[in-house]
Amino acid sequence: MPQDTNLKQYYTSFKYQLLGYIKTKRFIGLTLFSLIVSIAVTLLMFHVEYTTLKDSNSPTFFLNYLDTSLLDIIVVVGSFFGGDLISGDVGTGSAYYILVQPVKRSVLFLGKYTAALLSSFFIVFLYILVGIFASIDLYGTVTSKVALSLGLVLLMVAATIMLASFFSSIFKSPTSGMITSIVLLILVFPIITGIIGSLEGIYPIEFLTFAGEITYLIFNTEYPATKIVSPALHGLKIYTFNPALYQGIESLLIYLIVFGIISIVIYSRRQIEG
Amino acid sequence: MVNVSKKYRNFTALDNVSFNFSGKRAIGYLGPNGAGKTTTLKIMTNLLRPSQGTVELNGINVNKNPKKALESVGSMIETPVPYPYFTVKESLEFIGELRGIDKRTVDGKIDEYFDALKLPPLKNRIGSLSKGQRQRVVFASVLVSDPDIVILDEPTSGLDPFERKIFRDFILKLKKDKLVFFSSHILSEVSETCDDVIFLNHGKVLKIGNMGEITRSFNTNAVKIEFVKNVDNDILSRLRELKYDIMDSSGRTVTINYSGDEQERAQILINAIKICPVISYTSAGSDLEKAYISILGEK
Repeated sequence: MPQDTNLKQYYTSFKYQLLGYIKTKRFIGLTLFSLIVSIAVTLLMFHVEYTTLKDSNSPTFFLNYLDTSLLDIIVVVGSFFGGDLISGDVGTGSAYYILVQPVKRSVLFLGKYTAALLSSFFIVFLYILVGIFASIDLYGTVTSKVALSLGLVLLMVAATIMLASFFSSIFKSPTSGMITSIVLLILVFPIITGIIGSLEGIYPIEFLTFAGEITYLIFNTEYPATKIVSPALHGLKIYTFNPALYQGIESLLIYLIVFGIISIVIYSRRQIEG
Repeated sequence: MVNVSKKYRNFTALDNVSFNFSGKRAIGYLGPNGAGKTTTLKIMTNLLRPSQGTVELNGINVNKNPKKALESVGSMIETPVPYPYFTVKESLEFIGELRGIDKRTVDGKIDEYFDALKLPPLKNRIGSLSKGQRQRVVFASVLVSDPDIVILDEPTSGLDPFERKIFRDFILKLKKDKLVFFSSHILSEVSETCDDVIFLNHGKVLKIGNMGEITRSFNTNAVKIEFVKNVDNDILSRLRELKYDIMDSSGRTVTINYSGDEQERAQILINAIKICPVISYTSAGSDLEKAYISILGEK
């Protein structure tokens, strides 16, 4: 029987997962979703504030454009691709097809994760690409900060998929992981960060969606202050927080590593009880 | 498999199960639903971990070193579902590539099994296949890597007679150069294909042995004779003259009880032919069925 290395098996897992993704309605649907949202946002910005935009510059355009819905796109796409990464195997009949093969589950997971990352990043990149075309149309140029933003977006996508993967490792149903991730990242996290940040004055850097704001805050001419306190109104101070660049990166990396390790451990030790 | 137990809180699914097989043969793992058959096979393929005991495949502990242990094992547990977005060909290539088999060999195997297993068109998506078609694709994926050990969990369950025949014929072919271990509760299937048999109930192994020895020890001691014409009074009276214990007679068949002695069994046939031409001469009831009922204590 031919022997195989972990690296080759990782590549096989990645390749077939990617081929599979490309053929799914999920990939096609999310690609269309990303394109529709990006074109709609661009057209709206052009329609409402064309003169202001024209007088502005490429970084400011990107700041406004990405602030609108980039994180929402990342959360939705990342949740859809990460939310069933593990439960899609252990919670379905696929477990009996794939987990009886002579391959380490960690290797299998990393291959699938890379495919999910690449697919998700491609879809999110389309959103940014529409912004690039709009910037060229408006200013004839694209700010070089886009390159840094793309790197940060990749990190944010990676962290989001890993968090969703964690949920897919604790739920049996593939849809539960997706729904939990979306609800948590689109509703729960922003509400909590809003409350503890604005009212309690606690810097919510531990929250993924808050940390992810660095993806577009870098387009500011000067990176904004981490903490802004508004004058007291009826004895109530209102705080506004912005994630510091390096702390944001650190937070995203922590999500990526910690939830990556937990997901792999759970997946590796999961028994298929049926 | 040595002293393997699997416990879930207050429920013991497997209780000190031990067996050891080697060589090229087919082993039937028999037991009623809930006996612990699938649990055993899941432990054998590292889908479950035992609460105690060890399982070795080719001398390698499958729960401690699953990758190495499963390299020479192909298995079909429960109802495996390849990824629905794969085509039939991709499903087989994926497993082949994962197991480090070169593409040419995989393609050769696909050609080999396409007709033999009556596989659906290779471009069809898994999601569009019937259960039987999917089962055959998974079976082909088990065979693609040419494993030394084949583990099958009720492989013909829910399949039509045509599909069951494909599986049965394949098991007969496979056991010539592999160790085939399969669970079933279809006794005819096991008796036709297996060299050894294990009886399991309530998580305990009740009996292990050679198929021939076990069935002989539970011989039904009755033969069914089918004559060329309906059994009439003349036939019955001539059989009675020979002092045969006639258990039943209907249409063209008559069932006779005897001592179990093989010489006597042969003599019954010789005498029957003298009375009227005989079309068939078989044991009344399945010997394995009698063994199964007797060992498992069911009626």
